[in-house]
Amino acid sequence: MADTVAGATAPGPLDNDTHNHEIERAAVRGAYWTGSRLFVALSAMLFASGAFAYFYLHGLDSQGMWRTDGQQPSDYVSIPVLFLTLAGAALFWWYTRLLLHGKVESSDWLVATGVAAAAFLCAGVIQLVGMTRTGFYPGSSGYASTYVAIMPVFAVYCLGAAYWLETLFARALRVRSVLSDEQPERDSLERTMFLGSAVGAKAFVVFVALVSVLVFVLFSVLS
Amino acid sequence: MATDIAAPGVDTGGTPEPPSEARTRRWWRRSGLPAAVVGAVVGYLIGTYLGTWVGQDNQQVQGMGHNDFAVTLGYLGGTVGWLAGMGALTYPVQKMLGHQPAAEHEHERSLGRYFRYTLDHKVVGVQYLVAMISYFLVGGLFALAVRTELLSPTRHLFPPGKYLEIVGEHGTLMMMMMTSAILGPFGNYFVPLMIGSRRMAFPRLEALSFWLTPAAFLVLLSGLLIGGFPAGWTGYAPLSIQATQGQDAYLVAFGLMAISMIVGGFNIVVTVINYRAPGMTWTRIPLFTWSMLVTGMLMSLAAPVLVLGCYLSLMDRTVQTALFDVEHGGSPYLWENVFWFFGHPEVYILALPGFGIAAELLPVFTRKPAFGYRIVVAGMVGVGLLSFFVWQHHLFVSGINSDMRPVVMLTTEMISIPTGFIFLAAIGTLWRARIRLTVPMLFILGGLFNFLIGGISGVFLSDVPTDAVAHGSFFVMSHFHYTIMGGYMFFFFAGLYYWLPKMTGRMLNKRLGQVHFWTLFVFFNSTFLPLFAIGELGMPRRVFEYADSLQALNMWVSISAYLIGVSMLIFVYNFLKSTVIDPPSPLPANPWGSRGLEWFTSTPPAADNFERIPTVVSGPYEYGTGAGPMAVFRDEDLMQPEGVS
Repeated sequence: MADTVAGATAPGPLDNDTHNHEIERAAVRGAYWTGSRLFVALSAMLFASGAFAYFYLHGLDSQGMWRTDGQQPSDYVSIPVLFLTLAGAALFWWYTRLLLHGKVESSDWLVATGVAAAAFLCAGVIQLVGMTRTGFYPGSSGYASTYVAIMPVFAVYCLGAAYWLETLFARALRVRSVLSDEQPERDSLERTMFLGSAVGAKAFVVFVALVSVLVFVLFSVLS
Repeated sequence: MATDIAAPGVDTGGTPEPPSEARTRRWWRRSGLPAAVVGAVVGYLIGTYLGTWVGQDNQQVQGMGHNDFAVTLGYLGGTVGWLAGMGALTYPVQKMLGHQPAAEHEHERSLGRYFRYTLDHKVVGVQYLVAMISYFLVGGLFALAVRTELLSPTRHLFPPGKYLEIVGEHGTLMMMMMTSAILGPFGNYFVPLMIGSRRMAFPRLEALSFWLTPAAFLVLLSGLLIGGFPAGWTGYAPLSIQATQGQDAYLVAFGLMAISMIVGGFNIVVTVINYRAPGMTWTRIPLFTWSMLVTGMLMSLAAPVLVLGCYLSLMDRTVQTALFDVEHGGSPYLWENVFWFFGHPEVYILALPGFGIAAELLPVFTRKPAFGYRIVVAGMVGVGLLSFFVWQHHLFVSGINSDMRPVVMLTTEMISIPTGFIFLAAIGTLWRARIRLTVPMLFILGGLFNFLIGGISGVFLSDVPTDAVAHGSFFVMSHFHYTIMGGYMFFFFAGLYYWLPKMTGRMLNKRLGQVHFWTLFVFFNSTFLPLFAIGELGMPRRVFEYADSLQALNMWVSISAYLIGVSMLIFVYNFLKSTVIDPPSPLPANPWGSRGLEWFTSTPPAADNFERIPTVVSGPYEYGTGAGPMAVFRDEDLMQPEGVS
């Protein structure tokens, strides 16, 4: 990746700072892209382990205790959480896509990001509050155990997504030039980092939305 | 996580940045080690108080007689306080306020920088080096305690429970902390230099990965004060669920170390992929860097499973879920699967960095191009991939579906093929070479010899009928000590003797290094070779009484183990003498005559590594081929490290 950046093949005419800056700008952009994808991959391993625990205990059904009658998380928790994460992810994904193509006003992007951050925050809080009102004892069955164990992890991911979006929102508010598509801001390292972070967040919120679908199917749809 | 980045020279939009304020504070208000200790104590007290408050009305807690909430939240609170005191939380909070602090150019050269949350990858490398040697020596002391107990089959130094605690501490310290023994010091220090980068991709994450290790180490050791953990380093359920509070220390410590692994591995992977200098194509990447890349990937993808496993186990112990309790819909086999899904890749997390050092150093000391560069890379990638498909061989005698056994046996035996690639390529590099028997080279040769024994004995253990007999015996114990201590640690020492001159400008004393090698090599084999026989004669692991007929062999092993300890003392003396007490005169810039890019920098390297990012023009192992230097810094300024031939 780094060997293709501008200036790499003909370093002579460039002074050291310009030469280093050009290479590092490309590296920063790539680091956000790779880092966010790798973070999604390692998070996927985390949730895959949780899904493995679910299906393993479901398949074993030890002592016929996989799931006892009436064990079902409240729809007043699971459906709003699903809606909020999907809506938040869709909103941020779409407006960031427009931003990257220069097809949106910066104020519109700010509003969309703020709303998406709030949606993820609400989803995380609702999920955590919902954990205190499950209506079943944590160790009463394999199902109850996996639910009580996995859902707080999911809630933490929702809050993590909210944090990431909030940092973008706050940064864009503080330094509006990061949203500018005009020179000289366009090629600044600051803007590169901001957009890299936004692209990374885009992948992450989509991942969290997919996880919300997964946990909804596991705990509220499958019996 | 990916938001944690700051590059040099960032335009901060004219906003005042807090780091400059931090520098003007009095020392006791600055983040650093003193603040971290205070933070840890305060965090521990708050966590314990919260845990006590949560647990006091919980009937299950009262019935068990011990409050795992208090212990767990105490440890977690202490860790958060520790990190806050180090300054790890300052940046995330600033990000919430919209700041993007620039990475400071750390030109400070004082000793104090080694006790801070630094963004210089070289300082982190040195921090890791000292810490890993310390953890290793403490783990070694536990091993000597174990061997002391086994001097006699019937006369005991420790009660049985205490013996198990000591075995568990030794095993967990070594298997948990040593995962970063090469990636931590050498990976963090040298990967950016080797690929021509001025920095790591995420320097704050790198610092976080290090500062989690002291927390994990102290939490693990503290387990001894609250009853230890009888379930050993593998933490098997249901014993782990029934154990007293020391088990919480094991779970929190292993979880913290797993997070450290994830963060450290993640950073290495992103750095290698994105921060390579122009011209550093995939086929020019040094083999050590390749090994770091694959190891980083394994850490990133396997350790999350361990994090979840530790978390699930803690949930069983605190919130009273029943994930590992068969009476209430759980299963202890769930732990075995989750643990070993991490645990077997972990073996290669330990092995691959050692292979990388061997592959990196052999061309330097044979003055030949690396034999089969692409084969070695394929071998490393192959080992990494296959390592995710073999974990169930640890369950051969635990009730695994018998139809699955041949499949897992096959995948396990298959992994010897890519391992063989690497080993045979090493032999190919040695073939008809002008070998320089320097101290690093001695450790490489010793490590290859030891690993061969460890690897071949592993093939036996991958075989179901043999494993059914040898499982849980000293044969298995000897096997993995041959691969990990005999291979990994020998390669670690090779790397240490080789790269320390670059890190410190000081060369370890050659004569003492040779004494260290020969005593370690002889007494290592004298310790662990008889253990194969002891295992075959039926002595199980983790049992402190054994047949009288095995006493002579056990005494031999114990005395040899003490002599390994003496060998380590020689190393410690050499290390301190050569670096602190009586350092020798300054070295030439490139004492080994290496072509590696890391030797193009000053010694020790400057804060930003390279004044100008180099352009790589040839491979790192073109010894004796007439190729020019590996990199140029500008067209008219061809630069070649001293002593290269």
